[in-house]
Amino acid sequence: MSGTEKKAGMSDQTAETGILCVHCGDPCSDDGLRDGDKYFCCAGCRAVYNLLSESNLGGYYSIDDKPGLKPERPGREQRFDYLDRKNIIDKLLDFNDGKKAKISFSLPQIHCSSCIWLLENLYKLNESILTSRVDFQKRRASITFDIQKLSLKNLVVLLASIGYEPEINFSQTAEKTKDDSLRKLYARLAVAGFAFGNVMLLSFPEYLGFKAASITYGSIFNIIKTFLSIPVVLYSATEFFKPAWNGLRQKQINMDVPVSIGIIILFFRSLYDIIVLNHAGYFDSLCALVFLLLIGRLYQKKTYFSLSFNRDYRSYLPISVFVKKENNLENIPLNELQNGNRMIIRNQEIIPADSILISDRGKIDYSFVTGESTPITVKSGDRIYAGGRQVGLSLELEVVKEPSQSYLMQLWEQIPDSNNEKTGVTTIANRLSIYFTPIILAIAILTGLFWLIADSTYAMNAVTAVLIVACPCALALASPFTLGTAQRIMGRSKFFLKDNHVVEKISQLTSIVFDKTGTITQSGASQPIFVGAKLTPEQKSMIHSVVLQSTHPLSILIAELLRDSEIRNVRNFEEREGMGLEADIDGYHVKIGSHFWVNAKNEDKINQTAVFVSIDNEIIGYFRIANLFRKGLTEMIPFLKSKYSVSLLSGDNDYEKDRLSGVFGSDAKLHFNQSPHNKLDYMKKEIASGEKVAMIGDGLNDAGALKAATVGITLAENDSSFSPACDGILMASAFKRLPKFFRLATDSMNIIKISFVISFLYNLIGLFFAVQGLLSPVIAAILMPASSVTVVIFTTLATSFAAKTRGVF
Amino acid sequence: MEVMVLLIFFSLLIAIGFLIAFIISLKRGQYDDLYTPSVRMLFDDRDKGKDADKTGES
Repeated sequence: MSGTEKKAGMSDQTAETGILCVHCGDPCSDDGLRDGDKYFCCAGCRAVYNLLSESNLGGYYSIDDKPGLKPERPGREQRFDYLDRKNIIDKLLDFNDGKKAKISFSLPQIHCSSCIWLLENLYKLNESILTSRVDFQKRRASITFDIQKLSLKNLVVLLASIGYEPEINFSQTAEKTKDDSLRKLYARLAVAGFAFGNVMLLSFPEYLGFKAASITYGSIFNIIKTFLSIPVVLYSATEFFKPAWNGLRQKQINMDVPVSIGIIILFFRSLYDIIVLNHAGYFDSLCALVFLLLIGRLYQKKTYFSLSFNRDYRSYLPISVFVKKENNLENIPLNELQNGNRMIIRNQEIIPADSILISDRGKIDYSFVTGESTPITVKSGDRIYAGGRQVGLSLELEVVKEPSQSYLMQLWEQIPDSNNEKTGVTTIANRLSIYFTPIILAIAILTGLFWLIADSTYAMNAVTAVLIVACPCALALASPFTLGTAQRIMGRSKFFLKDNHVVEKISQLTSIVFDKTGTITQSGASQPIFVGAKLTPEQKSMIHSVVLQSTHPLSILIAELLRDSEIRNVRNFEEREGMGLEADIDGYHVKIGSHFWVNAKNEDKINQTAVFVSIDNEIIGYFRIANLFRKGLTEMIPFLKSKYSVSLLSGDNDYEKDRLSGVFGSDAKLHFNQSPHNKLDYMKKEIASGEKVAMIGDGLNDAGALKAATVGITLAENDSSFSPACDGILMASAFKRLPKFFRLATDSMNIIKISFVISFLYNLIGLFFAVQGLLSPVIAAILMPASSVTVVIFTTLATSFAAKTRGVF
Repeated sequence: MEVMVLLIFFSLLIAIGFLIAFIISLKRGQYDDLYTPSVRMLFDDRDKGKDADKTGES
């Protein structure tokens, strides 16, 4: 982008939306911080801007417009002190020879090309950084640095100071194994594809009608084909042998069992044909089969690298904590925290362990744990549970239970972890193969018996042919391609699934449970609702006229609500900070504000912000500031109720019951005051009664229920939102499409069933030749890939079509 | 026709060479990140970047 273009674009934006911070793009005030013609919203942004400009990193701002992240306030570097401990350094570094060290950080803040550019040019900021490489999709950066000159702690401080504070955890090894399995699959696919192409080429003379033995070099061709096929069976096909074997050991027949039988029989039958009979063999079919099946496997393994579906509660807790030791503050990692330690928790930090308050008083926001958003006041000696967020001044706490013993952790441990895996095994394809495999074996035995009586020379030929042709490759491809396509389409529409089995689980749902705060309500957006006798037009116009005089956010909200009413002349207007407004209108004295301001008794235990109105010292009611429901909620509930039983679990109390009944219907199951424990128990009970439940929630207070549910769906405001362990992440912008996603999942299962029928038809044709002992290599080479390709094309097209008609896009 | 066998043999040898090259590059992680390099190649070089800072930005 050239300089002039950018300038022009910027001035346009200024005209429309006010002045935006050059660094982060947030609006900032006219008289605020400025440097020449550049405005900043805060000192932090200016500091980063100046730092980058001085280090010749101004290019950061020319790649994407206003890419910056608000840095944390300086002066809190102490919290990284634990990174100076040797055992921690060793754990985190990928490589360290005393001079050079390499580390890979997870930086969820990475969001644009400018981020890549800046992070890859870190060496300009500090010359001890040797190289840095960003992996955009995984939101990771690996940095090599000179550990003699720059400590790990200072490196993290440097990153945090420019707005990229790494998310440090100790379970990074899990990521690597994911990489490895994908690489292995690619390698297997490459070997199979290579062999498939070459064997097919060498088999070409047969397809044209030449008999293998009559071709001059037929036997040489056969030898090459055999050698090419050996790695396919021994290496590529292990992808199917292993799960088949594991299934058999657990006395389960999964889809890989008949597939493996088919591959093995195909291989030995071909060996026999080539060596003993000097025929052509079925190596071409074998390689094609393995190749196609591996493509199916690859399609199945779609993962969203930038999202994490497996976070446990630990990632909510800080990884280090300040501990008071003989009047010194020491920063220690969480796992070294012991009973009796005195820890210091600062504003907005999360309390990592159950403890007792030593300081006089404090305010704790338990919204993570209970969903209740109002902070609780605690006094010295009170017990405080892990997961609470400290609001206000720093607190001193004495640990009474180690982090691993806390209430939160125990809640987590109670959840049957196997729940998800168990349902994963009984997919539709696997259920089918329980019947399929014995039937095929029976047909093979009957064919064998028949030929033994009729003409025993054909027996072996016919039996193996039946087993080969019955190899359910089209069947095995049907669900990965249908579910994979559905998963991709949903991903494009901002509903990200952990893996494609989740599509199948969604199709089986019978019940849907919503969380309230943050899930069906929009965080940040609110709407005033008047509580009291119905307002007369005259009262409305008086309130409207008064609130119009004020720029307080609540006044603006109320003014917006009453925007249609008349505006009158206001005299003697006065606004008192933190209290309210008063004014005279046509001889009436109007007061609007907190309950102190109008002398109201706050007896209704109003749990949220309320704006009282009094006219001539008579209180006529109050405005309750309620969160707005998400767009599409009211429209989707009737549809969902027609198919599923819908209920609501809220951590809040029931002050909004009437409003919620209006949306969910009077017969809906609404549960209030639900602790995370209650939510988990509710979910367990539902599942035990045979329901398939989807839990739609957001915070840590839903984490237990999300994990226990058949399908746990987390709602996220943006890509980098922190979500608890779940099966799917739904972006807030796609919330209204939820019923469409559910319908698409059901459609996908029907498509799978249709494609099962198609592949059975192919199998029947094959069996028709096979039982007669007439299955020639050419027929096999046409029939088997043809059936697979038909199924792949059908499922992909049908799923896309279904998505289009359902309006998922 | 002996030349056919020879041709097939050599063409296979070349193909296997490429297969091995592919697998080596795979093991070294060249296919792990398929997105970032596409952005990275569009960035200006180090020196050019310095000039741009002076003229374009301030």
